[in-house]
Parts: sequence; C-alpha cells; structure tokens
Amino acid sequence: MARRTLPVILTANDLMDGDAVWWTGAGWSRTIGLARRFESAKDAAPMLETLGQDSAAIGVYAVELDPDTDAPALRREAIRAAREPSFAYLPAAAQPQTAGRREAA
Amino acid sequence: MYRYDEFDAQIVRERVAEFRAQVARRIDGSLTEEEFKPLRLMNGLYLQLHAYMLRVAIPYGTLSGRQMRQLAMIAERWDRGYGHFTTRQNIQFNWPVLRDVPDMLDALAEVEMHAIQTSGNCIRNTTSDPFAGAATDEIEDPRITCELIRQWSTLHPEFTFLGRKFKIAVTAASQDRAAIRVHDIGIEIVRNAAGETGYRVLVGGGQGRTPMIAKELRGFLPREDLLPYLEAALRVYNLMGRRDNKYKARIKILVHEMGIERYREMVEAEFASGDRGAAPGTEELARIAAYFAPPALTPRPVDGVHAARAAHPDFATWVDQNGHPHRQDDHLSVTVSLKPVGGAPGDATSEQMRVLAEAAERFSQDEMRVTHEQNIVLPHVAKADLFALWSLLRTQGLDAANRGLVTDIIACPGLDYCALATARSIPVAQAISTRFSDLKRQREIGPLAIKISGCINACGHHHVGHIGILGLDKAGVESYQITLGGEPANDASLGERTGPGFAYDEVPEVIETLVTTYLSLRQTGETFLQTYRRVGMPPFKEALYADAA
Repeated sequence: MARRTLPVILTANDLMDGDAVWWTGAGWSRTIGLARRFESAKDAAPMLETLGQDSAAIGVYAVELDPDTDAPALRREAIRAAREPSFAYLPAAAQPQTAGRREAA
Repeated sequence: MYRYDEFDAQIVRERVAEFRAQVARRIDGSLTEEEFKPLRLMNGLYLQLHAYMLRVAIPYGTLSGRQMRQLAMIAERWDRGYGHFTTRQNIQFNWPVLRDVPDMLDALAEVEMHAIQTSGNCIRNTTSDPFAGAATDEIEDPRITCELIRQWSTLHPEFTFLGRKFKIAVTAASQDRAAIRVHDIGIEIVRNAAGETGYRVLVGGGQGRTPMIAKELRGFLPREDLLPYLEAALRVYNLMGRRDNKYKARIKILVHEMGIERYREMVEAEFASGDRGAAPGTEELARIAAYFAPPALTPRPVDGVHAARAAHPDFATWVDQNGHPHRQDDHLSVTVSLKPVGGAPGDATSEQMRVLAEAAERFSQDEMRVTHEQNIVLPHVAKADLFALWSLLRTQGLDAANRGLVTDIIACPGLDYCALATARSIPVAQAISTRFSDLKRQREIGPLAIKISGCINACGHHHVGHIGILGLDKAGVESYQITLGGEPANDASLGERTGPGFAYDEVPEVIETLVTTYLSLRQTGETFLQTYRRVGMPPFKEALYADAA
C-alpha cells in the first residue's frame, strides 16, 4: 500500500541556545503553532535546501503532521514541540514557561 | 584524591581558551556548523532534542565536596538547577546556552574538572568500583591504575581519532562492581602465584546493538607493562578495526571477527616489538599512588547507632539496605540513592548536590563517588555518624532505602532528552518505581536490577539487567522489548528476549507479572537472577504471553 502523503513543517535547533525552532515563512519561531505548513515533503524540499544554508539554525529537517490534528505525527516531535521532557523534571517553581504549542496528537 | 599537577592544569586552561575562541567564531559566522560540530563534541558539547547538553568527565566517578558544590553552582547559574549522573560515572547538564559554555568550562577548571573526551572516537572516562579504597575485598585501590590510564589517554595523539569510542573499566576486588566484562577493555587487578600484583586484561566486551561479553586477553600482566600493553592492544585495533561502518567499528567486532587467538597474537607481537615509551617510572607511580593513600580513620564507638536503629526503623532499614562493608569495622560505605519513588533516575538538584557535598565533607573524608548505577556513594562513613548523615540526607529526599532493589532502576535519558532515542525511558522507570513503591514489598522481592534503554545504543545497560527494557519505535509507536537474565558482574551474562514487545502503558504490568512469577517459583533465599537461571525462560514467557496465544 502506498504511504500516505502527510503535510510537513520545517524545524531546526537554534544556534545560540539549541532550542527547537520552526520556520514561519519569514523567519524562525519557538512557537510551533506559527510554523508554515507545506502540503508534502516534496513541496517543502526547495525551502529545506535554502534553509540548510542558514548558519543560525542547525540541522534543518521536515516534520510530518497528522493531517487530522495538525500536530506532529511522531512522539519524538511532539515531545520536542513541547520544548521540555514529557514528565515533571523540575520542582514546579523552576518550570520554564511554554506557550503557543501545536499540541501533541 | 588526585590533585592536578601543572600539566593537567595547563592542558585544561588552554583547552578552555581554545574552545572560547571557537565558540566566538561560530557565533560570528566564521565557522560553519559542519566545521564547529567536531570541535564542540571534543569538548563534551552535544546538541540534543531540546537544547545543547554538556557532559562533564568525573574521573573514575570520584568527587570532592568542593567539586560537587561547583557542579551545583554551574547547574543553578547556567542550567536549570539540576544535573543528570550517568552510567559512565559522569554528569550531564541538559540546558546550557552556547555562549555560556566556555564560562561553564572555566568554572569546572577551577575545581580540576573538564569535559574533554566525553564524546568522540577516543578513550573515554575510565570507570571503576565505587567502593574503591574502602571495600573489604580489594587488593589495592584501583583508582591508582585509573589515574595512570587517565593521564596516558588524555589527548593521546595516536588514539584521539579511533574507529569508534573506547571504554575502559578497572576493578581490584573479587566482586566486579565496575562491569569490566562489558567494556572494550576490562582490567582486573590480581595477584599471581608468586604473590605479585598485576593485571588480568579482558577485551572485546560491550553493549550497544551487538552486545558481547569480553574475552581474556592476558591472564597476568606485570604492573609495569600496563600502558605499553594497552598501547599495543589499541594500536592493533586502530590498524585493523573497521572504519567503513560505524556499527561494526567497535573493538568487540574486530575481536569477534578476527578471533581472540589471532588478536592476541598480534597484540603480543606488537607489545614484544619493544615500544616501552608509555611505561611510567616508579617515581611517577609512587606520586600518583600517594594521592590515593587510605585516609586515616579515627576509631569511633558504634554503640549509639544501635539506639538510633531501635528508635527509628526507617533509619535501620536504610542502613541495612544502603550500607556496604568497609575495611574498617567501625565504618561503612553508604549508597545515597538518586532513585526516589517516581523520580528521574540519576537526577539531582543543586540543593541536593550541596547536601551531598556537605555529607561528604562532614561524614566521608570529603569524598564521594558517582556509581555507574546512577547513585552516589559516600565511601568512608563512621557508623557513629550514620544517624546524623541520614537525618541530613532526609532534608533533601536523599534517603531512599532501595539500593539494589526493584526501584533502583538504571535509565538513560531516552526520548525526553536524547536526539538518538527511539522511546521514552525515564517515565517508564518512574511508572515502575511508583508501582513498586512499597519498600516492604521491594525488600521481600530482594535484589533485582531493572535497566532501561531508550534505543539500541544501550546507554541504560539493558543487556545486563536482570530485567532489561529496550524502547524501540515500531511504525511511530513506542514498543518495549523485555530481556531476562542479564548480569554485568563476575558471572556476566546477556539478557534473553522474552518475545514480542509491549506498549508503553503495559510495561509496569509486565514487570509485575515477571515479579509475581519469580515469587511463585523461587526457592528459599533465591534471587530473581538465580531463579531465572534455574528455571529458564519458559515460565516467564508463559506468564507474559499465555493470554495472547
């Protein structure tokens, strides 16, 4: 059975702090909800190649989305999108703020 | 403890200055990521799922109070207030910012620490027995040998770009607590028939995707020959090991494919060829050994501990479970568990690190050890001080009495942090730990080592867990493969797969089933491993898969 074509967004890690960042169409954002959606990896390929030259973002790659929820299809990317581990890794007082997520499936 | 000489200090300072300039050039765009990546990795700086990660070397796991306080400060000032102690007896900081890393390295250098050779295809941190210098069953302190290897292997020009990473472990005790049989080279300090002290050398052990138990390379090696012999062993590996496929580049593959006899012939020929340049002089050996002279422990009365035990049953349980015999009767070595119920194995907050530092300074000759089981050992505690120590540890939740029990779980960072992982590890450990939180039941179950890896690379040592758990990705879904019967010590064995994997949510129940099966089968005094070795896989498999058949 042919594999279903999934929409994708483009992601990388920020040079300075290593944060996960997503391509908005105009720049990089730490908010996955602002990511520009491509209909397929093929559609995203030219931009992926262009962004690969961006020295401020490391390791650019495409992340597949669940077409029903628009959230990352893989758990790895869902955890990455949450920008912190999936468990309470710090005392509550020290938890960093996160906002504007594309919630996990 | 070993103290840096002028060469150590100079190497570390120069390396920090060099890396500071490299970071500046990366930030101003003079270096591309492709150019910078190998440079940062040589300084222990990885890029993980959410952030950079700095891995700091803790030679043979030994730390002073001052060093632990500095780690606490670094975690607080430049990270998120905690660190993760690893199965290589190191510590990792999970959230550093690139421009801060040179300052972090400077802060480490202030206390004679660094991150050099914690990554890359070089000789990594040499690990050892956490009870070194205190155990009743050792020939000598193995850290003297570890330190010799550390100095020899640091920036060794011939072995800085090996085919793959290279890990060495050393023990001097009759009971192997350093897992030497699953290392590239394992060294056991032994005595021969003439009563001379030397080395038994094992080679070709390892975990990862192709686990193997090490084979004996030399039954007895005279002490003065160690470094020339290691050079010969690494030289043959460096020349003959594969470089075309990173998954077949470890020395275990070479030894397996070549055969131990042929490999030994080549090593012995190389050794006999006469390159003795690495052999240390007796003066240098004595200089190193002096740093590890046993501390003068003042005899202390032990009467008070009996009263405290009677008055505080939790304290008595903690002493019984976490204490280890010391060469001096009125002392104990104490394991401080970093595995509270529901906690992340190996994590410690800055406040906990400061309490550990205080505990070491007040009660353990200013010394502690990171264990490959991701706990902290205070090696020299007077029994008279045990209650005060326990009371101090309790203030930061460091009093879990679970050493070696079902909740003393090794877990790699897994998918929550690691860019290589295929499944979560820490939440699985937390769920199992919560399931078995009843300490009375844990002690009824007895010794049981659960080890969890979030990918095939096996950083969580799952191959040598009595129960091993390997998290994989099956078509986008986490699946956990269970192995039984692994063991890293003298009678080392690799775990055998039970069968098809289980879903994330099923793992605690799977462990419950395995434990219940063991309890129904065990004979008086038998541990989980002993029962498994007696009855084999069938009853456990039946218990796990009967309903699915």
